[in-house]
Amino acid sequence: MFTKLLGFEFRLHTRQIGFWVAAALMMLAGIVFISTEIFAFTTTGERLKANGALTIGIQVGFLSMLSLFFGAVYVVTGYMRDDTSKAMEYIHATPVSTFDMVVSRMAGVCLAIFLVVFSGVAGLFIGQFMPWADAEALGPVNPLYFLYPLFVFLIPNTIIVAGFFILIAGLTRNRTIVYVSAVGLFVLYIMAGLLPIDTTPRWILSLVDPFGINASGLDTISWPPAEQNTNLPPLIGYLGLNRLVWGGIGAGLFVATFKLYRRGIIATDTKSVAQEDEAGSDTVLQNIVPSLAPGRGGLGAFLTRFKFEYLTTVRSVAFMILMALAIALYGLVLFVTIKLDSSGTILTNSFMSSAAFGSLVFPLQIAIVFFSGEIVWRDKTHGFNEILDATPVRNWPIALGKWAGLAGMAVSVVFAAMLTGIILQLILSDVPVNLVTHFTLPVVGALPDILLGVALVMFVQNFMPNRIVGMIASAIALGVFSIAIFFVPFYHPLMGYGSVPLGGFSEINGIGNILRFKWFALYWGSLAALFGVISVWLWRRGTQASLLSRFRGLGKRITLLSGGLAALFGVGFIGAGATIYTGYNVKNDYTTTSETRRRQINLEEQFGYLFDRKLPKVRSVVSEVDLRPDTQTATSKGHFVIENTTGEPMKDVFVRLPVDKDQISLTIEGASWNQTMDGAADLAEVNSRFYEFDTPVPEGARVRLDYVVEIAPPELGNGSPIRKNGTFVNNGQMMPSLDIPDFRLVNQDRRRRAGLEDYEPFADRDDEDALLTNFFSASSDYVDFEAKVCTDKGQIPIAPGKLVRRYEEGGRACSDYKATNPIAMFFSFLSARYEVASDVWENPDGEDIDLEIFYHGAHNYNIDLMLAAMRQSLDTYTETYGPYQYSQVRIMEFPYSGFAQAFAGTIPFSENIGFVMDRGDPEDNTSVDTASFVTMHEIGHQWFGHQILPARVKGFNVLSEGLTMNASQTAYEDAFGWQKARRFLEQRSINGYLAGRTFDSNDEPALARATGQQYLDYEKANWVFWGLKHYMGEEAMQGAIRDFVTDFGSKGPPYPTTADLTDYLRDAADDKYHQLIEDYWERIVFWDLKFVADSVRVEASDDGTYTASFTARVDKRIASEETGKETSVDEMDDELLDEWVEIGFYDVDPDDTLGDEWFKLERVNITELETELSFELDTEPTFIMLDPRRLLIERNASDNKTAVSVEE
Amino acid sequence: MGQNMLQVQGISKSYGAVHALKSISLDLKPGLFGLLGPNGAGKSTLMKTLATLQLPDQGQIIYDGVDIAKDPTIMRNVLGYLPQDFGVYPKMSAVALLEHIAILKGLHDKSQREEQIRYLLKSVNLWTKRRTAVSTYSGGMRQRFGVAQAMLGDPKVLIVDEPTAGLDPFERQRFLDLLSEAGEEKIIILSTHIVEDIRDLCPDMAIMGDGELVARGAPEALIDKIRGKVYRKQFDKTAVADIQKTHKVISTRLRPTGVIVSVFADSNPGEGFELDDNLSLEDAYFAHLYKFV
Repeated sequence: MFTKLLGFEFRLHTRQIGFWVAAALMMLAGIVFISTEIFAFTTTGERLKANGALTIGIQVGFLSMLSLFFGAVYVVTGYMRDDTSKAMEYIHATPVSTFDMVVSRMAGVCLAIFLVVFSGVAGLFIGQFMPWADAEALGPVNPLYFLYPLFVFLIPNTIIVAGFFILIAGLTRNRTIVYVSAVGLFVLYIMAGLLPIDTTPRWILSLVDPFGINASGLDTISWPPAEQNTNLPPLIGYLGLNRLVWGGIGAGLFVATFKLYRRGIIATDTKSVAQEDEAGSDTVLQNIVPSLAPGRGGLGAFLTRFKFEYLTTVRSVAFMILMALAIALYGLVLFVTIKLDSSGTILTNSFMSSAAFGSLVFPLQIAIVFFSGEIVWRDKTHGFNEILDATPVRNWPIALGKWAGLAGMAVSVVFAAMLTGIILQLILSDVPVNLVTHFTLPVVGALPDILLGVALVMFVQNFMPNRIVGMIASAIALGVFSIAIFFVPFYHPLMGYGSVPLGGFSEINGIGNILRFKWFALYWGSLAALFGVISVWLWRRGTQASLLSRFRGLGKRITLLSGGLAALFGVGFIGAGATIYTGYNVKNDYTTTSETRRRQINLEEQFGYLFDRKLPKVRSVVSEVDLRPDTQTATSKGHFVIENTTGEPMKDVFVRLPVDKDQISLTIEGASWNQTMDGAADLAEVNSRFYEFDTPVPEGARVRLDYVVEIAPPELGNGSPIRKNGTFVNNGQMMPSLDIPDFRLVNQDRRRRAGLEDYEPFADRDDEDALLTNFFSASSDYVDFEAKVCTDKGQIPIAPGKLVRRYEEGGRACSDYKATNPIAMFFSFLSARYEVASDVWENPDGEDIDLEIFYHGAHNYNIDLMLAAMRQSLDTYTETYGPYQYSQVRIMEFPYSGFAQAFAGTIPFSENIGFVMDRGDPEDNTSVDTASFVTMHEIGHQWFGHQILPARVKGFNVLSEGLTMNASQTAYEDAFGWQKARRFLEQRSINGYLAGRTFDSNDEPALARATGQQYLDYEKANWVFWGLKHYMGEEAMQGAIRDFVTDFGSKGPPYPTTADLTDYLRDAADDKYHQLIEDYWERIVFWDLKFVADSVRVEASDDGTYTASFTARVDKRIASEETGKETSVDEMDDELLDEWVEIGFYDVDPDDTLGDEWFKLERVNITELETELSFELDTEPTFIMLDPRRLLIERNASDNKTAVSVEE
Repeated sequence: MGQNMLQVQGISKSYGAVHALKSISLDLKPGLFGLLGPNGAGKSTLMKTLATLQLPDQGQIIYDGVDIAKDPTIMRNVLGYLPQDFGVYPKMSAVALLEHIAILKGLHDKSQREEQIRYLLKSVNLWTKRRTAVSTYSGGMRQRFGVAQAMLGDPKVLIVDEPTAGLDPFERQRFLDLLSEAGEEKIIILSTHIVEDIRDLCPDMAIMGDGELVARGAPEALIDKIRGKVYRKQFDKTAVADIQKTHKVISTRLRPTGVIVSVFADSNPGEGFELDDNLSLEDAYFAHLYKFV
């Protein structure tokens, strides 16, 4: 009986055409995903194989989440079919056993979900064999990689999801609640992802995600590509825990479903009205006033319909549940920010507003898709359509009433979010409410996109045969236009339906790009309005309204008014589109991703030789920058003095312009623009050209370059870098440059396919020519710099250098700056209506340094903190590394973005970091004081970046960012103590390195030869300096760096490299650490420490001392720089194990303080893979930990700790 | 004001291979018109087509001189329609729903609207339940609500499609009374498969079978056409099948004593059949439906 029933269930699902369509689409998506580059967000390639074990595992994990969607559909159409098809009474009255009936249905639903999702997995498998697939991006075919995740992810998740839905279906017999609960599960997954990984206990992180994806991530977070390619996600660990618990829950759900199952009709609280029997009462039709409808009056009907659709929607249970989910998300975001995040944010207007709205976006999108189906099909669902359609009301009040109902729901939600944000800010935050911000972000910034989404889904519904298909198609349409379209290589903004970007929003400067906003609002708004008119024309009226018959009847429905409106909207759409196209493609040079790549390949083929060319050098810059924030324009003029340093007579010079050719006039003494050379047109496309000298310039001779650059007001396709309030531009935007811009294609896989050699932008450290150029610019050393900067009155103009004078000229505010000593060719110009906080730092050498912070008045939260950080930095760095080279340190806040940048004595600092960060409880070691740290970091660059100018060779940025991280880590430790610094290292650098390296699609080099990888330049460098200073001693290491600064700092070429730095480190370190320095810097090494199981003993002596003995297992593995594959030194003939390992002893659980509070710390030399160790202790230990200070680069330190107790 | 004339001129309608309407022509004047036919005869298709819910494949429907396919609003402006099967929006009371429909019908004057709704709800005896959600009404109450909504705005054409199916006799009678009072100026088209609905009520009727109109006229006239041609005899149950092969059987009626078989014949078929002039509309219905006439 059961197998027959199951067969029936199976056929029930597979009879549906939708089942096969879904399966086919899934398979196609799988094939396309693995074999093409259409989904540009995949990072797979030669290094990380598209069919690698973990990659496939995670993809199957994500695919299994689609069970949410298919599960909801199949539970409704399969499991709940008796309720929906009114067959319940006779089916439930048959003698079939409840067990057979229920279990066969559950199994049928599970089978259907599994098969559809499995089609996607099959597609992934088949895709490997497609002829167009990039063979280099695929590893060996291994069916196990596809089978294993079926059992780990797909099958358990199918059971969990189906069990969940079926339970809800059985209890409520309400399909809407089933659909909404799908959203609930997904929101749970999203919420799980919001929990901060550094401060939430791992077991919580691993359990809150029902699908096991996050748990798997915890296990595999530090897997390099070589391991991701071949290692299956392990079942021992967080994933196993997750699968065990959720598998149990899934099974429990099935049991509960069966136990709670109630056969037959469920009494509901909707009471039937008893037949009223008013005895003898006549049913006599009285005369009524005849009044039928001369004016069919659309407006009244429209308002009635709108009100009806709107109220029905917002009063529905589904809506309330969705909104409750949104509120829960918002609450969690706030909770995470306030309570959990290690680096907190001040609850500013921007934050409160964007958090409120951000939490709503997803539930609102779901609501739009769901309710579009409900609203469009409502009359039919309730069987009211015939009555409705036979009334004289015209089509437009019905159709547009529905549009307005859905839009009204969306508008209400957005305004509710706005109000919630305001109210919660009043309750939780000290920051005064700024209504402009609270209005702009959700209402101007997000509502247009939302309403365009509403129009899209309502339009799509016109063409769909029923509610379910309509909802699916709407979801796909929304997904394509809100996510996928941006990734296609031929993307143009004219394709991104529904994208009306603000161009950023700033509390300083407001909307980033109002012009683009207006035109795109007009463009998409017109199209949406046209959709509306067409939807009225195509409105389903009557019982026979196939798409074809509606198209046939279209002619009759086009009235003068609607036709006129359509024409108007059409003209608006095409007109705005043409204007945008003209702005982007005619007046400016918009290039799609694929065009850009073609152009890059072409330029490299023609001009690749330029990268080997020796360039002349700029010796001095005199600059006059006239900023006009009011009109968002500027004039930048000035001149360079250029010296021929190429070693031979200079026949021509390469120049890159910051602007289009008609916005600049440029003259070079004795030279003219070569417009006839081969490739001149291609160069012109990237604003570059050659100037040819009439007579070659001899070596050592100087010529003058004069320029005038006009920055045009913002136009479509080219927003002005000049802001109304808060301009921050650099020399790249305001002056010509003699550097060869790196126009090369960077992605190694694309280069390989284009037939280009590997991308090697940086020379080896022994390349003597390269040592003559620094990392800022190959065409300059330190330069003399002076600038006059003017701006509108009321704003303060700022440039690097010492402020010579501040004055008014022609009603404009001007300042003259002059570098007291030559600076790197890296200039910034800023202007805003600033408040100024100033202080003086007393320099031990007597030359006091002016400290200034220029900030937006409302962002005054951390000014004192940042001033303190400035003083702390100068204290620490002058003492540790030597004197500061300028007469001032100034920090200027600028809008948008999220970074700070160090110019000579001048630090532009984004409003989004530091200024609005909450330092948290200063006593709490787990909180990170971002404002202080970033300040310290940027000031550190004044030494490492401005005194040490690294040579343009491999490892260059370690000398800038790496040494700066070490410096700021040191200043931070000076200010806040060792434990807080240790936390910072753990949360930022250790996690940053171990996780960052797994995302690199290119090979990982050793630290000393890093080529710009942030996870090396910042994070591994910081970790290595941390380890090194504890091994060789703080004094010794920082002293070596100080010597390095003294010998190389503030000098011209040749510039230093990491080879020079490591020489200094080696010289200062004891010989026994030379191998460690080699391991840290010159190769990729991972140590692996653990206790040998059952080897730990603690014995108490009679004299009150204790003896702890155990076997430590210490391995060192060397990772290949080509494949990332790790090999233990134990397996290598020419390698010795000779390591120094620290061991900490505790009488408290070290987890509570990140291992900080040992009562004894020992350092031992280890030469064997397994070593028996024994220690005499004065205190009774409860825990022992290997390498508690994380001095060694170790991927998995969770097994470094053991709990111990004294043997009786 | 038009003269309230509805002309159906040769309309046909197919659903795929199913020929639901085969060149139907019909002129209707004010008064109650009954459309009688078995399930599947095409009654509902005709009703829906008249109610502008679908278009005929061929032919025209002219109301007061205007082709309603070209301008359905002409028809909808004067139409009250009670579909064979209808639902209502949940959680809406009778008053709220009638108010909603009234506005859709263009009754913009609020006081007039309220007055009509009150009259109608009292007329159909739902006044005391006016605040109750219609979705919770029993079948009879729901049908009475259906009449009320159809009557809103005093339509000149009232189309009611199988309104009595599923009603108990008391409810059915009450419903038919309502219709008969609806007014003599209206064209009222009542489709049904129950002969009694028509017999007492409609001065004019048509019989529909298999997509065709097989007869049209006053019920008495249709009965007169078969007068003197209907013979009856009681048989044993087992013999009925043979008789159906050899005679034009109008009906077979099971009695405790046997089966009374009515046959249509120009002269007495013998074999003990006896002429019966005590004819019912039902006899006429079947005779016409089977095209014996």
